Order: sequence, then C-alpha cells, then structure tokens
Amino acid sequence: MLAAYLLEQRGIKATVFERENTLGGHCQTYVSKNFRVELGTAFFLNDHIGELLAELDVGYTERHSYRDFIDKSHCRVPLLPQNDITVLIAELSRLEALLLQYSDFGSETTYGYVHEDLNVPLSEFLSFHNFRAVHHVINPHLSAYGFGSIDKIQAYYAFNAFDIRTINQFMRGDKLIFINEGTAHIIAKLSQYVSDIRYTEVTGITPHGGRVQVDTAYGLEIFDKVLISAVLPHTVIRDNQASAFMQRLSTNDYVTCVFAIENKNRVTTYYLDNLGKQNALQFFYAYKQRERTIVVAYAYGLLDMNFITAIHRELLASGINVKHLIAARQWRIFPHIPRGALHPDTYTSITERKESRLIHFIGSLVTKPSISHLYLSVRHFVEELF
Amino acid sequence: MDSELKLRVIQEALTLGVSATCRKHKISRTLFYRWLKRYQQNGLKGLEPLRKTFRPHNKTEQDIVDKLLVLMKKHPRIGPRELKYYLEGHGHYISESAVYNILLRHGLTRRNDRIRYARGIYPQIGLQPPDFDQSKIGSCWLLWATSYGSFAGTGTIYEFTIFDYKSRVACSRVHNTFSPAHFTSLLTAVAIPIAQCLEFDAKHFFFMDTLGLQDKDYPALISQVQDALHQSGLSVAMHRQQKQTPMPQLEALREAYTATVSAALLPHLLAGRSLLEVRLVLQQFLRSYNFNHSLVYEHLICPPLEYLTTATGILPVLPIWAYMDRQY
Repeated sequence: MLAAYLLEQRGIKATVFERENTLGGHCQTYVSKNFRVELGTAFFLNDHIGELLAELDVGYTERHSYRDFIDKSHCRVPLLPQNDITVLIAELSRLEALLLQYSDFGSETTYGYVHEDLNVPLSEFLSFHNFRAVHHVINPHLSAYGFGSIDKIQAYYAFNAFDIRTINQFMRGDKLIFINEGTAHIIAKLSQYVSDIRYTEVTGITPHGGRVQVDTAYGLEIFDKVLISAVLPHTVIRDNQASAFMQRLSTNDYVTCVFAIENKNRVTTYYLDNLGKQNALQFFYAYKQRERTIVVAYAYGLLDMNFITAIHRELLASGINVKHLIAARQWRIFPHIPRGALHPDTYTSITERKESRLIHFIGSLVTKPSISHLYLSVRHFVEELF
Repeated sequence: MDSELKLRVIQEALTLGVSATCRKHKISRTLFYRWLKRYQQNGLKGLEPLRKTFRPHNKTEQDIVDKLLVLMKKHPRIGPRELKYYLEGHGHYISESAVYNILLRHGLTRRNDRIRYARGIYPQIGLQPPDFDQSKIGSCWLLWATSYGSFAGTGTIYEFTIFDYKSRVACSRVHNTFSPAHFTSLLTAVAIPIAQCLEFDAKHFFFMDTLGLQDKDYPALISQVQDALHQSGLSVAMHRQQKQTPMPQLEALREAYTATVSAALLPHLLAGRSLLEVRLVLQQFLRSYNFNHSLVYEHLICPPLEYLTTATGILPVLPIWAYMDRQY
C-alpha cells in the first residue's frame, strides 16, 4: 500500500492486489462504540514514521508505556537485577563495537550480506561472546515482536530489529507512538490516494518479454514491474530465482487474543518463563478506554479452542479476571529464512541489479519488521528504482 | 534588595568567598547565611521579601464558599449579583464583589468556564487539603516547582518535583522554563511507572504554592495533569494550597527536600555546567536520595525506599532506566 501511495505521488500508475477482505496486513483495528482494539501492530517506536503520519494527516499521541515482567509463579521480578545494570551498560558498548566489525551491517534499510558469524541462533552468539545481560534484556522483546525463540532465530535478524539504538530505547522506556484512531486509519488514509485496488488473489506471476503477466482467477493483465510484499505460494511465481527465494521463506504462527476484563490497572506484562515457547502466553498489553478495560494477549501457535482456553487460564493465574473474548486472530508473521537455507548472499542476490529486474520483493520480506523501518525501506526502494 | 540581586550575591559568595563578598556588598555574614538557607529551601522565591501571612478578619467562611459553589453549579449561567441574591435566600449576606472574588479564586469568572465547571468537564480543584494524617503510603502526592534563578552555564532553572507525602519517595526534573507540560512529562515518564512498581494507589494530588502562580494559571495546569492521568487509567482528586495559607508540616518536608536537592545541584550550577550535565547530576542525586539518604520517620531512620519496604513489605521492582542515566 505504501509503495503504491509513494508511486502515485510520483505520477506512476500502480495496481494493488489484495488477497484478504481488508487491506493493511498487520494494521488491523476493530471498532465498537468509541472503542478501538488493535489486533496486530499496536504502537511503534518513533523514528521516521512521524513524517508519514504528518503527511497523511493521521493523528497520533506519544505515550510512555510501562512494562512488568513476571516469572513462573506469576510474581513480579526485575528484568535485570540491579547489580547487573552496570554489566549491561558495559556489554552494550562492547556489543556496539563488535557489530561494527560486520561493516555493512545495519547501515542498509533492507537485509543484505549475511555474515557467517551472524547466521547462528542469537542465544549461541550471545553466550559465545558472553553477553549475559543483553540476553536477558533482549529476550522478552524478541519474543513479543514475533521473532520466536532466542535459541532459533539467527543473530542476523535479531540485531537488525534490535540494534543498539532500539535496545537503548526500550531500556530508557522511550515514548511510543499510538495512532488515535487505530493503525487501520493509516491504511484507510493511504488507500484514499491509491486509485486502483483489486480485492482478488493473484494466481500467477510470469515474466513475459520484458514485462510481467499477472494472473488472477478471473483473467490476466500485463504490467511493467511487480512488487511483492507478502508471502505467496512459491508456485505462483514463475521465475526461478524469485520462486526459489519465496520457497525458502518461513513464518512464525502467532495469535492475538483480545479479552474484555474487569476494570483494573494493569501494565504490559511479559511472561519470562514462556518466552519463545509454543502455545504459551508471551505477553499482554492492557489498556483502559472509556471505562472498559481490554487485554490483548500474544502467543505462538495455531488458533483453536484449546489454545484460547490455555491463554485464558494463564491470564487468570496472573490475577486477571477475564469477562469474555472479543476477538482472536491468527497471524503468520516475520518472514525469514531458517538457518540452513540462509546463505551469505541470499538477500543480496535478489536485491542487486534493481533496474533490470521485473519482480521485486519489498516490505517485511526483505527488511526488519518495524513500521517505521518498513516505511523507510519502501521509500528508499521507490526513490531508487523510479 | 531584590531577589535576583540577592542570588547574584549568593553566586558570587559561593564562588569567590563569603567574607570578601559580604564586605564588598556591605552586608553581614549572618544576613548572607540567612539568605542562603532560605534560598536552598525555597529557591528564588525564598529570596523575596517575606510576606506576613495573615488571614483577613473579614474573609468569607469556607462553608459559605462551599454553598456558593453548589449554587453556582446549579445556576452556571448567572453572574455574581444574582448569586449574591441566591445566597441571601440561604441566609448568607456577602457582597457582590465578595462573590466575584470567590469566583476569581476558582478561575470561574467567565460564564463559559462556569458552565463547563457545572457539567463536570472542568477540572475540579479542591481548596481543602486532603487528610494527610490519615493518608496511606502512596496515596497523597505533593507537587511543586522551585525556581533557582539563572546561572551562567545552565540558564534559568526550574526544578519540578513529585513527592509522596508519607514515604517521601520523590522524583524531580529540571527545565529551563516553567510549563505545565513539565509536570505531565515528569508524571508520565517517571512518577506513574515508579508508582506502579511500588504499588502506590494515588488518590490526591496536592499542588504547593511555591511559584506564586495566579488562580487563573491553575485550570490549564490541572487539566493537563488530569489528561495525563486519564491516559494512564488513573483518576485522582486535585487540591491546591490556598494562597497565604501556611501548612507548616508540608512546608517543612518540602524545604528539607529542596535543601538536599539544592545542596547537590548548586556546586554544578555555580561551576557553569550545561543543563544536560545538571540533569544527570540530579538523576544521580535522586537515586542516592531514594535508595540511601536516611530520613527521620516516626519510628525509624532510614532511606525512603527502605521505609517503604519496612512499612508495607513491598520489595521495589524498578525498571532498568531507574538505575541508569537518561536524557530528557
């Protein structure tokens, strides 16, 4: 959507194909009488997104958010013992220096060359270099953002999302941006500027004499270029290299459940004992709006009745009186390439020689999953190519 | 001598030597140290000429004021003269200008303000203080700002403080200007998250009269603070110290706290440090104050956080930033 918006701003005609009934992917807001529930992305760190929001005239507020961490027995514990804070600060500066060695790392907006040292699970990387405190601090945020277990996700991805700056922002408890009318409002605004949106599934993408043929269930059309921003069945893409890339991509099953609860002041709470585990509550985010209190709970796994019951039970155990379920939604988030399939040049090979390419990957397929970053990378991409 | 000039003398004396400065300005050392003490406890305001706090013998009784406010809430569209007649109907005879002055003190001289007040949209400010003696730990918070005057490197300095009456756990920030937004940022960035960790249940905010704010300044201040609280899902009753009403018990707490803050900051202010450097000094001070600075409580002598643990059994679990330097 963002790419289409930016293209139209430059006077280039763009057509958007959307498989779902609603646009916006993870920006989903449910509304019920002055009340808004975010099902996907709820807030972002303030980097560059402010520019876009101002441009689109989307109202937002910056707020501090508060975090609690609870252990196995649902007791509040510090994320890091007080004595380890100095250790953490020392480790962070050591980490910063270490990451600088991987020269092009972090300077690009999209994923690039993957150094062998970083294509190892993050926990392995951290223990090899003895970053004990960083492990503690990064782990809850990593799992909350849908990266999965710290023992699986490669250091490359983790440090792309949680660079030193972001870790510092979390430690400082910086303000976060909340969209007044919900993140779906951004998508609604964007769609006002995009003249050609089709709500239909794409069944084939075939390069054809210097242009690309796009098949849908109801016909075909020829375009100059195709930008892919979502995970598709790899058979849809009839181009060897692009299809092979798509085939390697893997996602995490993630579920958000929204519950109405008894009025009580609760802050965002992380379940330290569950981090990265399947079918276990990762964290919840609670907020009060017009005398109603809502909890949005996040967990890995596949949505079914037992799943909801398990989450419900866990909320009860941590002292939350759940009234009823408002919504539950299955996500497949964080497109990434598992360790075995990720080669140093996997990303560079599909992003190089942009001009001559017909099929491009953009958005979360090739960059770290934060809205602000997505914006920046899509903007760079559009500026570079068109 | 005016307060700015007194501050210059203090700055000069503390950097160049007390005796010489006193001789130069032809004041006694006793007078100088009296100024210094008042400055350390109250900031720039302590250097202003002392005003006798007296209660005018003809001041309107509080219960008449309360009745007037009830009447006004019922009839927000009428002005002082009609309100006076209504009051007479209840057997209270005060003049039209007395009614006007009461409205002025509550920031309600404009009709629209009265209508909003009556609808309850308007922030309600209690002039009656909460019952401090019966209050629990974490329920009554004192808020104030202290002006330190201006310094060569740092510029004009205002210190904003939120202070729990019972436990004396406190947080402060310094800024170059006075603005209600600085109270709300202190509240949302520091006070509320810490209070949540300490399981404080805030019920009353008591604004202390330290800057000589006018009545008309309060509605904006209070409504910004209320907004910030609502966003965090809290509802708290607002109170303010009435002008010219001494509250020795609270003043003593405030002065003692301010004296320790200024003792920590003054050397750095005098050394011409930048605002950013002074902020870090203040953060280090706050950590040492809350964790290590022993205070005298009713039955024991200990630092505020230790008192909290002794009295409530809560072991504070604070966020990482509470132990770190962070800029704002």
